[in-house]
Amino acid sequence: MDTIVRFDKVKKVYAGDVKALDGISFEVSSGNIFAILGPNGAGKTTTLKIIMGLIKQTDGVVEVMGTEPFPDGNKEISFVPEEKNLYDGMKVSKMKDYFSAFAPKFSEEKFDDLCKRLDLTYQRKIKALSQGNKTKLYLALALSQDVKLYLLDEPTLGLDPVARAEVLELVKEIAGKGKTIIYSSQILSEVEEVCDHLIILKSGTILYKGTIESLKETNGENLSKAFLNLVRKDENK
Amino acid sequence: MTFVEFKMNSMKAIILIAIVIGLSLVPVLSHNLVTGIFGSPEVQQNLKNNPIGQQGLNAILSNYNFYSYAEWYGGNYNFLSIIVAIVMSFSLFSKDKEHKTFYIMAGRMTRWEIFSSRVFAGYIWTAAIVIIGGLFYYLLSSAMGYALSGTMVAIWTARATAGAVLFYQIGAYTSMLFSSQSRPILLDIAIFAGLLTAGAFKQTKFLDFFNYMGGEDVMIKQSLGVLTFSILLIISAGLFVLEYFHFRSSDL
Repeated sequence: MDTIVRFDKVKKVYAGDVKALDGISFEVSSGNIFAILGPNGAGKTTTLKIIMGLIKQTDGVVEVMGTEPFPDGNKEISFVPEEKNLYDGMKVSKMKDYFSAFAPKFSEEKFDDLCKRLDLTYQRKIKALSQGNKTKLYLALALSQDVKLYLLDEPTLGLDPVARAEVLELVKEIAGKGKTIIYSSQILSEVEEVCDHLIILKSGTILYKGTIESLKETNGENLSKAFLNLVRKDENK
Repeated sequence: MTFVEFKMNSMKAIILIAIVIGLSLVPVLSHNLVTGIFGSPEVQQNLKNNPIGQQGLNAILSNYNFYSYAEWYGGNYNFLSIIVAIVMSFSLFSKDKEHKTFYIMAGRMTRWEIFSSRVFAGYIWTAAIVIIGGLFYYLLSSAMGYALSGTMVAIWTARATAGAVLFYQIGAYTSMLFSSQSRPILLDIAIFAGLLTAGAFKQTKFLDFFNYMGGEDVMIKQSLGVLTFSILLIISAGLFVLEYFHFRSSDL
């Protein structure tokens, strides 16, 4: 399988000498559902933003589909950020028109279909939507792009169980088409359900990288227990 | 994409056009009132002691070109042009930073696509609003039967547009520096006040381009002042390039 994302000794230091990533190296192969896990402040969102080309690493090499993503990103990536903010003054339909004007490979047909599947009201202003429905709208917009790589940061945050199950189903469907998904979430049961490979970050360093199965073999019977055991082991060092 | 951004700003621009047109109506419609006040015996009595002389002042006031300069092109129109530039520019980037909505487009568009569509759309609206303000006053004056020099109007409008576009570029830069919408407005006002203050001193007088925008020399020389006009446009273009490189190298 081709390597779609490559991090080599990547560091990121924010203003005020805040170290977010401390020389991490990993690779993501195409066609995988790859999880990035870690406690709050571990560097997950920073990693996703670097892949997206939104921020530049302080040191190290980042390649996404063979090119450096900063500053222009890569039009073969679709990103769902942790903060799912949209233009509140717009109606859902107008937001779709706006998004389709610049988002590459956006399919209106797919968007309409996703709105139905996620039970999203179409003719309402975004500010009138609940946080859960805003998340659904963001997901519908991002997943209506037919690209090679999807970055999903807390994609099910604030969703009801039915919508959450639907999103996981969608993720599996997209992966079934040979697309790569990088998935970050604090809900480990979801991660265990959909992902195959992962890295676990803590304080900007990688605690573990490999398959979920091998992590469970060495650290616990399910992903939640394995994750907790690993993080606690590190804290007791 | 510039067209999409242009449409996104249309409501703000229409409101500004309505304000500029509304305010341009006042001096035209009040011309008779103002000249009537100056013609009253009390004011005429006081004008006797004026160094220009009573006859001189009466001659100036009956000149509609001078009246328009004093009431519109030399004052309110220029202030409005700067306000238009500030309103059109302050939220260009700061709004998306404040609301964290940059992620909708960032990565899906190149930095140049984001930057150029945003800046050009506001740039076109700013220039259009200022030009409308200058020309509407002229057309209204003509419709009311007042003879106003078309050449002077064209020069004042061109000068005001060049100044507004430069201030728009300054506003676009300040918008890029902050993650809240209020700070760019405050900084823009501070910069404008600073430039006006600089105009009061001989050594820094050249910084006050507001003085050029509504220059009284237009009534005497009827000249655009090509050198200053070109310098304003060159500085605007230079700021545009600087802004782009700043935006390109910034974390979003």
